[in-house]
Amino acid sequence: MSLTPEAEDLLRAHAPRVLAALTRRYGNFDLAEDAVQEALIAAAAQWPEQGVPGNPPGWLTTVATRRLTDLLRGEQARRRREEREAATLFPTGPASADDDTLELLFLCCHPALNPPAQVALTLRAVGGLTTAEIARALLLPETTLSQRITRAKKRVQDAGARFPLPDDGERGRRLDVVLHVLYLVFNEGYTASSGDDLRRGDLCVEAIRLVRMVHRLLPGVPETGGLLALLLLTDARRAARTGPGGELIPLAEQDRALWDRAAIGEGLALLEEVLARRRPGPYQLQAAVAALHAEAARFEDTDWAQIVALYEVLDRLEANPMVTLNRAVAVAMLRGPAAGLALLEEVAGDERMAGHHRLPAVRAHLLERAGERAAAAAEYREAARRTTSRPEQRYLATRAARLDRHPG
Amino acid sequence: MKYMIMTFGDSAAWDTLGLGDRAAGWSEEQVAEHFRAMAAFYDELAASGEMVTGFGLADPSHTMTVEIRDGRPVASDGPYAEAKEVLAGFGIIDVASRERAVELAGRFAALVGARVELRPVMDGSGQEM
Repeated sequence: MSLTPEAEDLLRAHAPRVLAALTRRYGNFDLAEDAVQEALIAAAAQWPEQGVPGNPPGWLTTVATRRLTDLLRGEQARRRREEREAATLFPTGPASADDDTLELLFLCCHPALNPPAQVALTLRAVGGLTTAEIARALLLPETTLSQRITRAKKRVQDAGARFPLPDDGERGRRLDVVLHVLYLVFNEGYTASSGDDLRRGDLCVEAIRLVRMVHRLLPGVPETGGLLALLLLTDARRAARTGPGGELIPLAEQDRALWDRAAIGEGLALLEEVLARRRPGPYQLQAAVAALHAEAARFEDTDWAQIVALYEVLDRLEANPMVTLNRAVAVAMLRGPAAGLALLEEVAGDERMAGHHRLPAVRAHLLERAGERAAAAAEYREAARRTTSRPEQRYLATRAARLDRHPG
Repeated sequence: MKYMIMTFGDSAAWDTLGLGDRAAGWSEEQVAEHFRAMAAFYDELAASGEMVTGFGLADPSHTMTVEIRDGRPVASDGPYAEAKEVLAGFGIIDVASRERAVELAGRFAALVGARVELRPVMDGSGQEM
């Protein structure tokens, strides 16, 4: 027997609160995390047979505390020191369950960790996923992932004991990191969903769940709403973006009837709400582009003038060759492929683009539209050589072969 | 992002360690120290969660070739490469950046005393096309 989806949601919702409460009380994030993980495993084993307890967070706290006591007893010498440190790590005082969850998220996205460690720790401590689940989703052996998490927890423990809790300015910067980590989690899962890779799609669901939570807890930050809208609007296309064999289908050729209208509706409403606060940021602008695609009934109906304008603002906000590339695609749709190709020359010399497959891929696409089939095929092949993504390589190579077979 | 680190050697490299057909070129202490240093490097990467997997390869004389002839797979011994360099070992690492991959490959090259090759591994994720 396994848990019902409702019971699983319940577990995942309570896990970070229980962990934060234990960390606050015992001061040892590292061992508290192990204890909560074991309580979750116990729940997954017992709840299906014995039923969901009347007070799920109480049940989890009791089981996790019992386990944590055992773990701490094993290292009593360290315990006193850790309890003293706890006072500086987590100041006492009443805190709501929501504050606890946020605190935990800030902890997992600690700047002392590199992004892969932040992603792994966030998924386990805040997302309540098991090590095995995360390892499968990130295509890593379980031992590799479990070492990464162990190491990350120790680092957080060490760094957290030395530094004071973030002040308001630090919280703002830390929120940027949190949003970026959740964005990475989403990207990690946003993949051609075929065969064994299917599970990676779960990461998108998890990223959306966590961003939704942050947005609920800190509703005053427009960029959080912007990111949530961006993820919802992007994920809405998931069923349409791969073919039956797992091959990528470009936006222009997607069957828009397959787009998830409910997710689009929620994303559009959310975006409208945050844009009204007139504090635009990169996530809101990208969401606005996604919204224009979502609102076009057919590819031909896309409002390219607006998209070009949005990319211009985005490029001014944070100059980035990737944004310029996207702008070139939109400019080509609005004013023809020659205009897009001219814009590409601006980024061709950029060091950050050296060796990247996106530049030849976009150039190939524009050359194909301009009728330069031989040149387009050569650029598609160049892009296929450069990419490290299997689905993209397949798409690009297929595209090149199509042009070779039917030259000009 | 995942990278494969590959080390190369001629068959004399296996001989140096006493793993080839002839007597070892290194002293027992040198061989022991080499294995100790390699093990320490592997342990460090395993502890940091950056080691996905890694193996040294057996002496190239064990190599087999498998090819399709008349639509059927046929296995034969060899090639017994005259080639100066054959693949001697590989490791797959998962690191935060290209810079980190280069740094680790550099340390690996120093350990084995030879150049190593670093190649990105293809993965299953892709951007919106």
